[in-house]
Amino acid sequence: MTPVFLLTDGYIANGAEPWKYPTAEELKPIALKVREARKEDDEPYLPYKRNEDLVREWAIPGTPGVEHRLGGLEKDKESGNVSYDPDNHQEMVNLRAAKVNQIAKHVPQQELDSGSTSSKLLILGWGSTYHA
Amino acid sequence: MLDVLKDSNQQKLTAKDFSSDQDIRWCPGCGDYSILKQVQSVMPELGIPKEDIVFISGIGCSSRFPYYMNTYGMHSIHGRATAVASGLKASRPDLSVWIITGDGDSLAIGGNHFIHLLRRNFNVNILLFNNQIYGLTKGQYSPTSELGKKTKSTPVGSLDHPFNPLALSLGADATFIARSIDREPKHLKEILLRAERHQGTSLVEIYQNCNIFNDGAFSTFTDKTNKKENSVYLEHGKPLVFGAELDKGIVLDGFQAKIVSLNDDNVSMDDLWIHDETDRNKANILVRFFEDNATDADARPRPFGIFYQEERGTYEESLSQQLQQEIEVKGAPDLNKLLAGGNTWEK
Repeated sequence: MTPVFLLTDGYIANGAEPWKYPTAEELKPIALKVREARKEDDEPYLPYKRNEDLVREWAIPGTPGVEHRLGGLEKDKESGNVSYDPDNHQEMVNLRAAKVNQIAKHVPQQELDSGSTSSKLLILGWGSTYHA
Repeated sequence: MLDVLKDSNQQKLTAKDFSSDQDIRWCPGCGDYSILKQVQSVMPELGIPKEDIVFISGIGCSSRFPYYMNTYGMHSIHGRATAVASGLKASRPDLSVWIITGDGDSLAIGGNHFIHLLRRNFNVNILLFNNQIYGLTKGQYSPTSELGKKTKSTPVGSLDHPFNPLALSLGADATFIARSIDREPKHLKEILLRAERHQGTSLVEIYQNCNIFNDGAFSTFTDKTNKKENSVYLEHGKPLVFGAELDKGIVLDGFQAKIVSLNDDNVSMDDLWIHDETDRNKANILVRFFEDNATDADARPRPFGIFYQEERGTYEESLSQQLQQEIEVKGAPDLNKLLAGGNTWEK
């Protein structure tokens, strides 16, 4: 549930070069887990409660018992109700930062192209015309 | 679906079931409370399980509405509730989708999304809370503020000619156009019911008093002393009659609407304009009953009710049919073919 904005380049659309693409069979399935209907004895639904990966349950319209509201105002960290509590706000800021930082878990270890680990300046490049 | 009760226990819901446990943050005395109450009370009558109902709003005072409904809801982007709702309805035609918006949200920043939703005719309901002011940002003039209005952002009076929301909607080929008002709860409830039953985009403009920044904007239609003189309630198949003693009527002379006295021996009920919800030409005249009733002595009464409705296919129906037809012609979709496109080769 971490939003990702992929900003691609017009170069890809306008350029012409051989490009290997995967077949449908080679694509890894995206497992989508959505919340099931809440039964009478189930605990109250807490739309902003998170698992160990800081991911919230996803309940979609049409699912009974887990109706909830989303919006841009700050939420209580569990109930998802609009919250003006400063401590809760700080916790939510920390939570969101931690969640975004977890992207690093999925990024492979990078290697230096040139220079050394003791260099004073680090240049990060991505998607450039490397060695062109 | 409307006719299928999905609730496993099929219990009869009440207005309370649609009320969330949130404290309401509108100012005491705000017209929004009345609208919220009517919406909550009309919900059980629709026969739709609450998990199949979604309220989507933009930004503004009225757009806090979804937080107070115990249904699915989204407090979305300024002016874009219409766009979010279109996407939802396209992918989930089974849901009952309600858009909550205000005069600023829908007619200023969201003006474009608003008219395009109307012409596309998704089967959704728009409740346009019109208070003729920006309330959340503390009292600037809005696209429906009257000419000359003095506000914090127009200290010597607004130069902007206001939008006429219903004329705009009719111009955008909306298939259901109605007006109600926060202070007439029974009327509002009836209109809400009709709006939901209409297949297509239902536009309900609701006059809503902002008692802090624009108090009394609609007092000519709510004050007991003069509201009956200044408003006419439309009923399909009934003559246009108004006035404190129901002694005035409206006749249609060519394309001109004229006010007549029913005390005049030369005028009978048979001469009056009979309201026809399906008559676009008459609706075009009715939406122009838009004079400033507070200052214009020749003003015609402001109409309330359903101005116009027509049956026209909805966008989501067309979308589904088109997909089905394409599948019949081209076969089931194939992701590999899509990925390959037309200009690929194999090594």
